[in-house]
Amino acid sequence: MRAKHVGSTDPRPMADAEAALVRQLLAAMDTLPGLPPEARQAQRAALEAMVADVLPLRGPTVAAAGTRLPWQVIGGLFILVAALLWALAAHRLNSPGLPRPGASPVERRAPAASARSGDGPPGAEASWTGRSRATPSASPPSSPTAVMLPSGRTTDRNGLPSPVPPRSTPGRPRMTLARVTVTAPARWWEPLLVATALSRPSAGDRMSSDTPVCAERPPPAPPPGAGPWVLGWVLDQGCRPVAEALVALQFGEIELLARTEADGAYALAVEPGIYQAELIVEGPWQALDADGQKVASVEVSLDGGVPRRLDFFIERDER
Amino acid sequence: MSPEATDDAALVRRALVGEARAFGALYERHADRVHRFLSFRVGDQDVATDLTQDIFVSALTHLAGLRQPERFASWLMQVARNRLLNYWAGAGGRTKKAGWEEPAQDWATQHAASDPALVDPTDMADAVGRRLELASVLEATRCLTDEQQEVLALRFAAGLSVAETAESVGRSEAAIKQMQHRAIRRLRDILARVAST
Repeated sequence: MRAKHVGSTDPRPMADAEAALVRQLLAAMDTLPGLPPEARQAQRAALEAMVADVLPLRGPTVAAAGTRLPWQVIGGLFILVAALLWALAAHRLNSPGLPRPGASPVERRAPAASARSGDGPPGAEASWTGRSRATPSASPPSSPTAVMLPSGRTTDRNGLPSPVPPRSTPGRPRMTLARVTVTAPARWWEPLLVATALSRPSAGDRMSSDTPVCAERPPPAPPPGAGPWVLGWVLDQGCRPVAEALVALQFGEIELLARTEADGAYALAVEPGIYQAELIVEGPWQALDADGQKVASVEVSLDGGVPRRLDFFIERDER
Repeated sequence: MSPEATDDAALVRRALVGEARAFGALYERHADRVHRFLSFRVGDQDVATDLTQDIFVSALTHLAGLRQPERFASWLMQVARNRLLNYWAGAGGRTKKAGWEEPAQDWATQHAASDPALVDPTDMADAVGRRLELASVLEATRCLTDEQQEVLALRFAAGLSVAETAESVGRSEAAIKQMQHRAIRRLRDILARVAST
């Protein structure tokens, strides 16, 4: 219930005074001392050195970590050992061929209430959380075959989107997402989309045009009772699996991520709609752009109830 | 979703796959807001600097648990609040420092030496007067409740939006707006009382 104003008091001067006070408060907050530059530099360096040990098993060692971080270093080492044991176990259990539904989901965010879990390994349980999303527009691929121009996302050193193309290291081939073929599958396990990355030693040189022809792998078993799933493999030009690559499907604010298994397989349960599919890989490709990672981006349309296969072929830098 | 949120989410994802520079960029982007929040709440720059590092270390070690990377800013301030509570709870409970006039005097001394435009005694007096006035505003916030101080710190020192502040403290946006409004009104009354004496 709202209180009535009594008498002729005009609330406006009061509101003006409060607005002025807010401005004064903001100015007062600006007078607070900032983070000293030397402390900022030292802290950033220490944190960056910690990342490799605390987060996944990549990047530089923690040797340069700051002197104030012993517990975090110990925690990082513990995680490192646990991850190594897990990797060993996964390697022993690995059998090439079937992508595991829900394999290594890194993160899933969508409003759908039901969690779908396939027959995959631990971690396959999909937990759907997050805020509401707009209804994705469900539409089948508009044409049986389409050719898409190179499409890649680059970021600068601060992670901000950059309009400039990826910078190639001198003497190293530059990898470009050169051709994307979208085909309407006659059978659901036929490749829906192939993102082929071809190398180009330098601008102006003729681009290689051979898409790798890999032996057809056994079709993945459709997850029981699942809606649309996206599954497939990430392979290099020698048809070797690319493990630990991130496949991301993005629809507006919603992003679903899956990491490929040792056999290059991944799987993601999704809602019907049109998604932007991205491939993020590191490692041998690290020198290919300024950020040490390669991102390929393509659009994929998913109908209800039908698993779709989405394979990525990328070229390994073997120099 | 704001571009900043998008960028945060992208940086978080890159950090999660082990890209050190991505986390460095997150630090660069948010360190000042965390430090300002802590400076206001603790009143001691050295402590604020140390706590800033602790908070980012904690954020790094728990980053994998962040389910919505686009909400990194409010999540980080949650981490900051928790760390601050631990700090105050430690060593039998520390007391918050006040003393905003000291920075004002330091500032005046530094600028008298470095800025020729302020060498004029009249200008200098005005600038110092303004600075002390702002310091008195900060001082007056000490008379607010702890909750009110926290909301003001998150909104005006850390620069969070109402929605982000609500997420950080686990309250509704309406509650935050109301709390802020009450805090400002009370602050106005306090300053009016001080001025009349």
